[in-house]
Amino acid sequence: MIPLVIHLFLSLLFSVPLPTSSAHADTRPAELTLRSRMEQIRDIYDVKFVYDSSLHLDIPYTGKTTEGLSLEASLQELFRHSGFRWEVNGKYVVILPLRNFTLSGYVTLEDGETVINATVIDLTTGSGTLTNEHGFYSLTLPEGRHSVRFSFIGCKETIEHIALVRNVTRNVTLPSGEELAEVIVTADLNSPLSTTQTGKVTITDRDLQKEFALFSSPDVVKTLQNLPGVGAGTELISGLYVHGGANDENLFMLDGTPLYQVNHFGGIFSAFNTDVIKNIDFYKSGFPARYGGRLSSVVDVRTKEGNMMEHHGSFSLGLLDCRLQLEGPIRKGRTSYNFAIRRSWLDLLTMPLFDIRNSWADDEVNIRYAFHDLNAKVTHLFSDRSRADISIFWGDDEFRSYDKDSDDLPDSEKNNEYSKLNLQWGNFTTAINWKYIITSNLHTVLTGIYTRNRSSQRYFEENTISGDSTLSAISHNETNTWATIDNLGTRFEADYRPDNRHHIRGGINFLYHYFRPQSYFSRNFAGNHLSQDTITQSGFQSYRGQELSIYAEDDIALTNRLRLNLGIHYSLSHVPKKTYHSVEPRVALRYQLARGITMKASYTEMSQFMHQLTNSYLNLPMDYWVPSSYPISPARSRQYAAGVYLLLPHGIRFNLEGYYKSSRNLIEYDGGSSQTPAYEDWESRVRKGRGKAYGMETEAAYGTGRWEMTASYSLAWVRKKFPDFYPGWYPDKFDNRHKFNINLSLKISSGIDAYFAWNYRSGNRMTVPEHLVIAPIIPGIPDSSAPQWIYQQPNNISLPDYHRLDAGINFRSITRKGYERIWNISIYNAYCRMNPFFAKIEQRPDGSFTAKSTALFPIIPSFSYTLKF
Amino acid sequence: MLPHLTTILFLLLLLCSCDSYFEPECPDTDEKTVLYCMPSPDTDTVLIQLSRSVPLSSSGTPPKGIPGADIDFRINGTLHPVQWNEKATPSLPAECYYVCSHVNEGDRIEIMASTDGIAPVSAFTVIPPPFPLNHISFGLKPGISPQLQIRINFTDDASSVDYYGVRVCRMNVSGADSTETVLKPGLTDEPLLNHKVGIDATFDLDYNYYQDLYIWSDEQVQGKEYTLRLNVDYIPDTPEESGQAASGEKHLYKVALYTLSSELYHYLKSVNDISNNELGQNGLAPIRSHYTNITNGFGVLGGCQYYDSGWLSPHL
Repeated sequence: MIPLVIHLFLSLLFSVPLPTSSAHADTRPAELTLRSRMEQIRDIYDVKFVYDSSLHLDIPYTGKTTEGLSLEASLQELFRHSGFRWEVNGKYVVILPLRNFTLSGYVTLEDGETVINATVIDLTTGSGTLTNEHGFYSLTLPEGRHSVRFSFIGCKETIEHIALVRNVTRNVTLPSGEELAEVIVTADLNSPLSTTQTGKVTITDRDLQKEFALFSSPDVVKTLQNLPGVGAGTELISGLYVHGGANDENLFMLDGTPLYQVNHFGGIFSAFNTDVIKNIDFYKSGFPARYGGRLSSVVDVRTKEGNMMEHHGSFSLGLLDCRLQLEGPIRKGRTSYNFAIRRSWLDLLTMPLFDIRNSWADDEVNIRYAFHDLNAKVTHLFSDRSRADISIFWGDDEFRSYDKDSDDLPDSEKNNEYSKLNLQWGNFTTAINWKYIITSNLHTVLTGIYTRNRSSQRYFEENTISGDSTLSAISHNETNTWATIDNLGTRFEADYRPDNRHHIRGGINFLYHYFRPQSYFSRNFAGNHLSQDTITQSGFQSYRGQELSIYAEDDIALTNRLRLNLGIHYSLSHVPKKTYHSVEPRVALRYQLARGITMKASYTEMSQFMHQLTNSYLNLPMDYWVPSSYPISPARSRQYAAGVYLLLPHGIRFNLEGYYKSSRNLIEYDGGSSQTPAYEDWESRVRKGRGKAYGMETEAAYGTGRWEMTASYSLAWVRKKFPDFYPGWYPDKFDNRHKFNINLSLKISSGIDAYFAWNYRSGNRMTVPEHLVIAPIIPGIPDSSAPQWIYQQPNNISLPDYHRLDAGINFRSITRKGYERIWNISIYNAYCRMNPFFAKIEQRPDGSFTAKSTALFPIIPSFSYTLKF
Repeated sequence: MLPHLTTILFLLLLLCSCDSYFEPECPDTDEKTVLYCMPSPDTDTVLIQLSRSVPLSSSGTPPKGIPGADIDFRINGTLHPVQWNEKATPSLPAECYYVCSHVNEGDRIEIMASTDGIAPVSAFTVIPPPFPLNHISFGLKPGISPQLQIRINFTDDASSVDYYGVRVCRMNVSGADSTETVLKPGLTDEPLLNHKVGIDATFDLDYNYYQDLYIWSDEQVQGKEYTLRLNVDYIPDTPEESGQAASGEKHLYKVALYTLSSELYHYLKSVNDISNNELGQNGLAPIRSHYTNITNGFGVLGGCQYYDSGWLSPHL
């Protein structure tokens, strides 16, 4: 009662009495306002309205008539959706502005896993938002009663009835459920119809499980390769060529930590274990300001925290690899772990085979290849406001071989030969995140990261001829080459939603780089027990650099139909002798033309401060990264994109996007025929150039609960200009003019689902010689050379078109213990199309020319067995 | 071991490989003039090869030479007559042009040539200085397979950017018979010529030089005295048995040393890089275009000087 009295007193003090109707004699009857309705109520019920004079009451009133209603009912109707609240105190009606309060919290699944991109909509006001990459949401609403709907694909939606009289923290759990495709599509604020950015694709763990599984599990990079606007590069190699960009222009982030090496087994597998992936946000244009450092795409992979309630896991055995994943609570509801390991097991097969072979052969040979990766994450909830996690990723590939041979020579001497080769490459990353909700609309994350990327080659060869106690001769050859990148960094991110019109993100990111692009050591010696001639060579090159980036972006609802995402990303890169700055504006605009019709446009600038030196299209693990340095400026790009996004009748989704991207300061290695770019003086061996890519891409999708079909088509041009290679613009190697994909996933029964994907694209381009000429005669050397081929324009022909059909089927059943069992049978290239892998020009006997192509990958069947417990 | 390994890997790939032919959408290019000329002070005859290219869209083999061309050959601006040689002679190949004139270090050589129906071509070069040789010596490198090490000591000129080349031949002499072989020296001891790192070094991937002329720039030895070390298989001489003159065998070595103009060096380097780029020829790696300084055409006009050591006996 006392607060009400004080309130009344203050209101009286700072208010003005409601003017009499005569004071507003000029009010036109046609303009029924809130004030005029208040006057009517005042006259009918003989009450006095008391309010702050600054309140704007001359707003149109569009509600129902209040005739015949009680005072309270009239007031209720009058001030509904007006932004004001009222209180009756005797003969006084106090009018107060409605206060805004914030509803915030985390959205989780039943097992405690946070949900990224869940849609949160207040059904009362229509305001909505999405959970961020940490599962946090914040929605500012006027005080009062609200019904808030939480939804996410694959989950039953939850409606929370909340009386907002103060800021409320509400962590919401979504029950798992059948997919409600149509409902979800219309309500999903993460659908292309609703997001502000162009070129954003979200892939969830559920989406990945519907993808084709080659050998054992669906693959992240191969899933992305199927998207429109994305080139796959060389067949079966995990290349990603987005909007004409090179393979090193993609920012791969695992829980916010950059990865440099994303291939296993020559690219057949990517480094991302799908068992632990929760969500992937992929951007090919319209990059938000929080991302930077690469020109062409962002692949933001987030992993699961692990089940907070129960222990679960899965085991999978495929044709080439096996996987084990375990998750569960360490402390129920508070601390969870998620652990996954994947390892190839082909070497377990090859080792006994070589043992058998060695048992009868004169020499001893062994060759083994293996890869593994390990993901581990521990998450702890300190309170509703505070939580932290620590995650580790360790991925490694190793190829080893050795050969041992011994022959008896005359005079009781022996010839011993021994050689071994060890190739190793991989990543290690670790990140510690502390997430803290400072206020109900301000979510912050403080991160510390360390990453290490390395590749090494070691070769050892020794040949000796020795008697009982003498060394007659020795020849020794030893070569080690290794490259590493160490990053140590910290990041602070803030997610602030002051009201429902703004979603502001800001942050600062600092990375300390220590590059050792290629270190080299070799020692050769030869001789006998008396003398040995030793030659040792070594080279070591290192760069220390710092990279600082600061960003701010605001996703602004300008009107109910128009949204603007405005951001700026500033980067500073310091390397010895040089500091580079980059200020990159990011703008995206979304206009909702009508329900189900959205138009978008975006403009982004990006910079790249590190480059991968490569001299092939095979993504070899020995391709190493170098930073922009004193003579090598950072690469920069600008991209314009626009599109229209439709939700057609029957739930058919249709997108059409166009883009134009220009890049400058691109570099290409020009070190001759060497497959490993030389470490010495690399700056003088790279050439600078420009690039441009433009095209359009369209996608249509339709699905019911039982089946889903997606079809996409890209029409693209990719051009390069490197004056040192060719004076004009020329096509890029992966200038695939047309690309067409159809994906169909079917749920045949509760225990059987199937997947089909047909991919078509114009062939990759290649460089063939354009002229045959006589060879030159060098003074002092007799003429003996055959005619020579002359190369001119790079990538001057196109290989035959590429197409293939992949198919897969899953048989699911429940074991007696209640575990889920999945048998997967997959067929890669089902109709055995022999797509050219490489080609060469040949001359026919009649003097004319033809091209001979070689295909490597026929139909490849595979299977896997998975047990989920 | 490594051939073992590469063979296994290659076989694994070939097991499932399949070849087919297709007609490439041939680039629409016209034939072009091909000009080669490497004037050197070491002879009084300058050879000019003038030919036409055969575009991929047509067929046939390129002609060795095109008679009737209009060629303007100048030394330091002075015009010198150019003559056509139809048939091969001991000093000239068939179907070529030649100029009887002596060129000297520092001379600027210019050529303009035109033939019917093809755009005229032009180029120029400057004759480089002679090879800065100090001495050539031989050493024996012991080991499982003993190597003869040819040591070429030279001093680079610090005031200029220089390009060099070397070519080694062996002559086996047995009595009155002799056979000459061009050698491919081992480069493991020679960092100026051995640029292999990483996979290339580990797998010892081949890198062949055009006409076995091993070329390098003075980038790493600018202004220094340096000894180049080339290893060749050591074959010991066998002495003549008494009374049998033809029974012994001697091995002699000849070292040809070149200085190259920038144009000739870059042309030869591009030829080497392209011919060794197996992946590039198959479309699996970038392959760069040939260097040329011939405006509107292909080929090279590049000055050079060479020094021939004559046949040397190692005397180890």
